[in-house]
Amino acid sequence: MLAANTLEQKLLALEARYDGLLRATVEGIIIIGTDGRIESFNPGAENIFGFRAAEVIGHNVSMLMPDDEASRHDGYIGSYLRTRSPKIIGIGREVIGRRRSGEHFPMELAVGEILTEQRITFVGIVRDITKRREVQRMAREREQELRLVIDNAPIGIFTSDLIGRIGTVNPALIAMLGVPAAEIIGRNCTDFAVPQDHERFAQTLQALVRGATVPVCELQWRGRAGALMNVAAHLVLVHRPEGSSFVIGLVVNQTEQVESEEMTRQMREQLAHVGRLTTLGEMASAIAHEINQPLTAISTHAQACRRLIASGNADLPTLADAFERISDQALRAGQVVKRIRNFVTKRESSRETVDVNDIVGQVLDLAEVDAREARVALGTELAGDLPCVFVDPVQLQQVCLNLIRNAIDAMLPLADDQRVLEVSSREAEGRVELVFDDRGGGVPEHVRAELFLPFFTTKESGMGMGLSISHSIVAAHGGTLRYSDNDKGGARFIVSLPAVPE
Amino acid sequence: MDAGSPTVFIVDDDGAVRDSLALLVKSMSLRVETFESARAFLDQYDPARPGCLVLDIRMPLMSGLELQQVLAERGIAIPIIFITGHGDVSMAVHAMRAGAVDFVEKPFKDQDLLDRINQALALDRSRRTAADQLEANRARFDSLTPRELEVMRRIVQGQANKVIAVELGLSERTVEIHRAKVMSKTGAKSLAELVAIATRVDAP
Repeated sequence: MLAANTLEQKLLALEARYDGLLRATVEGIIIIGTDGRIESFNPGAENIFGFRAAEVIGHNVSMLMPDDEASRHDGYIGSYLRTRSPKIIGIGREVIGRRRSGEHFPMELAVGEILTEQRITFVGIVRDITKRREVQRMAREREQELRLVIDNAPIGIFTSDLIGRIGTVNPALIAMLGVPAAEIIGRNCTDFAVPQDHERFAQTLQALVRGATVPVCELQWRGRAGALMNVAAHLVLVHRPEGSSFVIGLVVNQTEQVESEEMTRQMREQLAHVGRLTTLGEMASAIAHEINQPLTAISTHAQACRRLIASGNADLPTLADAFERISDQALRAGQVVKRIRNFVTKRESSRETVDVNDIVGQVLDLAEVDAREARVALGTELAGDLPCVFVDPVQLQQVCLNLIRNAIDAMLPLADDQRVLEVSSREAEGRVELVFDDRGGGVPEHVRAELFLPFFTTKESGMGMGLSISHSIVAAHGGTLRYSDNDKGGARFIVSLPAVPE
Repeated sequence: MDAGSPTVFIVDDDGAVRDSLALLVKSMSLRVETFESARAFLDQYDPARPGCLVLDIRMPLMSGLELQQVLAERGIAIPIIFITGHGDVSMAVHAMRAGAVDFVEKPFKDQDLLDRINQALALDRSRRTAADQLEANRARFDSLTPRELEVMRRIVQGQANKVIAVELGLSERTVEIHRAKVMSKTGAKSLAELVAIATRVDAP
């Protein structure tokens, strides 16, 4: 009796525990008999399916399934009882359930078999995975969208490991390189750079991996059949949540842009060259004079020496002095020729870090020819200790010469003693400026807007290209050329160029 | 070379050309003086000094042409040889019209320049001789008495002694004496010579 009593107490305790378990769990727990009828339906199941337990107990469990599945369910049980070969028991799978509202939903179903001496029952444990599915679907969609973005991006995209081995590549990059994906993946991204850019690209990658912020790398890549292209490659280091890192490369093909810029540059340079030739053509008479002077001195000295020797009156110091002058004058003529050749020789533009004061000095050598003939007094006021500028020296000379010649022309109507041109240099807020002041009356208000346009001229024999070319040269150097009146009743032109940081 | 020997004055702003010209002129044993500007020459030149001017046509401040003009205005007749560069033909033409002796184009053959210098010095010499003679003639005319001057004027106009005697109320003999005085004082050996001298000194 005591034993029976204890057993009963144990059973009661077990049942209470079992009951508590059923109530506490958020999973739906449904027990059915071999006839498919629902015998137990816990609160979790009520929540999931929307039925009260009382509404389903005694009914076939197929009511919780979509129609096609429902009609087959009894068959599944019968088949299992006959063959004992489980299709779901002990395995669990994702199936579709039906709520009271008739709504179908994805659920995870685990089925167990409860064997007692009297009978077989089945227990089904149901987890509503609608939310998880939704999250998965959204993640899948996001991933798909991302994939589409990458696949359709008009720029080349690749990923690589930290030493540059390419892992994935998008169609734009495949098209850009013109080789199949299989020939890209696994290769090092630096392999595509031309040899002279290889090292720089590799260093950029290394710097990135070390954690530095790297600038966009402009370089040439070689694609299929050796085709060269100018690309801008932007490398980004990305950290995965679990801690490893990889590299994303964004590659823009800017060959056309580079080519068009190159063409613009070439045209500007050709125009500048033509401008220099034109200027020199206009100065031809003055330059001929400049060369004729030393030639005259040479020939006259030589003839005088010959006469002195012939007459027997030659003394050696006089002859030596004459010969020295002859050689000096030959060098002088050579210098003129050299200056002119430097000025007009067609060559690749090359920029150098220079002191503008040196440029002014070189230009004055050329301009003095004109100034002397026009009887213009040239004065300079050059600031010492100026920062340097990064320019094509010949082109800057051209700009200065043009401004000086314009000033000289503007002052021709003045009396001789009023023809004064002052060239000064100064530093102004990170820029270096050259200022040209004449006394020629300045530029009338109504034509200032056209001053720097091509073919604008106030001269009878001018092409109107000088200021226009000068303006574009200065602009190409990141500078400005502007006009203002000066307080001496003339024109002031200011060439302003960015200073090279010390 | 004494003080009266002619000087070649060279004006050129280009030092090298100037010095070479000076050496060339010295090589033919001529006296030479150089100036670096037209202004410097004007300031220092004494018109009494014989010689010629070798002048660069292109110079700053005052050009060769302008110097030529100033000299003309001041009545200084020094012969000028212009030195011109290529392309200065129009200026050279202008200079010749204004009375320059000649021009040479740079660079020039020494002989061409020296020939022109000799020519210019000869011209200067003959001008100065002529001027000296004129001065002498003028002095002789100045020594004539008013009556002798009156008689001379009429002789030059071609009046016969008889006519002069009637018009001046003198005897023909007196007129003859005056005439002889005029011829001896002016040094004229014939009537034609007297006419020539009278015309040159522009006698009153």
